[in-house]
Amino acid sequence: MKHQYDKQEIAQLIDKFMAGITSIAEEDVLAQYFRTHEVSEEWAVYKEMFALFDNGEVDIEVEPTKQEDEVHTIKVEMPATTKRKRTRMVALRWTTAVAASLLLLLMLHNTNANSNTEAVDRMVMVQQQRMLDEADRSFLHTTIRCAMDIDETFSLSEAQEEADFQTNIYI
Amino acid sequence: MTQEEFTYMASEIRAKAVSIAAKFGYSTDDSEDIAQDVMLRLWSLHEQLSDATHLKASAIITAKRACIDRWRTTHQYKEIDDAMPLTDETTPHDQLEYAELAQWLDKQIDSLPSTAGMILRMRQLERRELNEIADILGIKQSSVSTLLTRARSELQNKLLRRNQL
Repeated sequence: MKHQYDKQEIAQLIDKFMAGITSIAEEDVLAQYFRTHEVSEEWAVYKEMFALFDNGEVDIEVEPTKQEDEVHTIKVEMPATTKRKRTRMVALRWTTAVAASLLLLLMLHNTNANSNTEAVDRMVMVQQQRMLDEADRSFLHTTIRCAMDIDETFSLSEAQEEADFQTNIYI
Repeated sequence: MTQEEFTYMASEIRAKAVSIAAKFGYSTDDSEDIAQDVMLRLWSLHEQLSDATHLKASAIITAKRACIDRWRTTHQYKEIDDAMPLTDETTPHDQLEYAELAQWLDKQIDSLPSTAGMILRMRQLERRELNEIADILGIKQSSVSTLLTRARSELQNKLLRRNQL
């Protein structure tokens, strides 16, 4: 004769189980119940637990006892997904910064630069807005400041060539 | 060694682990926790341990390592390996043997599951009775219940967190 366990009995067994005082037979009752019933969200975790045991899975990740578990989880996920993207982004940022700063240098070398400062400013601004997002703008400013300090020995054609080359190999 | 041989020595081994932890400076509760870990690890390795001497030496080394590990998770890294020698043996031959055993144990223990994982294996997969587990670990049946409660709660929390992400 097969005994049908009602929810109240199952609830009691769950409490005993989590208190570590169920017998093996009682644990088998729980296992069988969860194998054959859909359960509320509250009990979903127990259904999952016994399913793991059915599959022979009992390993719990070793987690540092004193640290926040969320931090541990996040720490594991971030490097893998962003590393490749970051390398590409850094190269792109650097390149566009170089291209933009070279463009700026170009403009400054232009014999008409003095009378066209507004036009130059506008061009650099457009270039910035087209190529970079918020985060990269500060990077560009830094690069331009550095470029200003560099001995300005580029010729026009050399600069154009360099900017072309850099832009094409990375983008 | 067999389960019977291991069980026969369990109380003695466990007491040794507790005393090592106490000498290290841990409270009674923490020493008991450390001893639990040590017993579970030794049990996981028992088939690879040949005799009582091997088991005793492994117990001492494992207990000292467990003390150091626990210290490191709660404090800044400190050079304490030198402060606590692996063995009281003084002859070079014994020291070498101990060093080799310590190296082997380190490697084995690195690939063992956590305490919770090991106790759940014993109960949920190997279906051992509470009194059997108590004998193996050298503890009372009520302590086994405590170990199971902790392990099952840990698993429950892990699953709840995972499902929230």
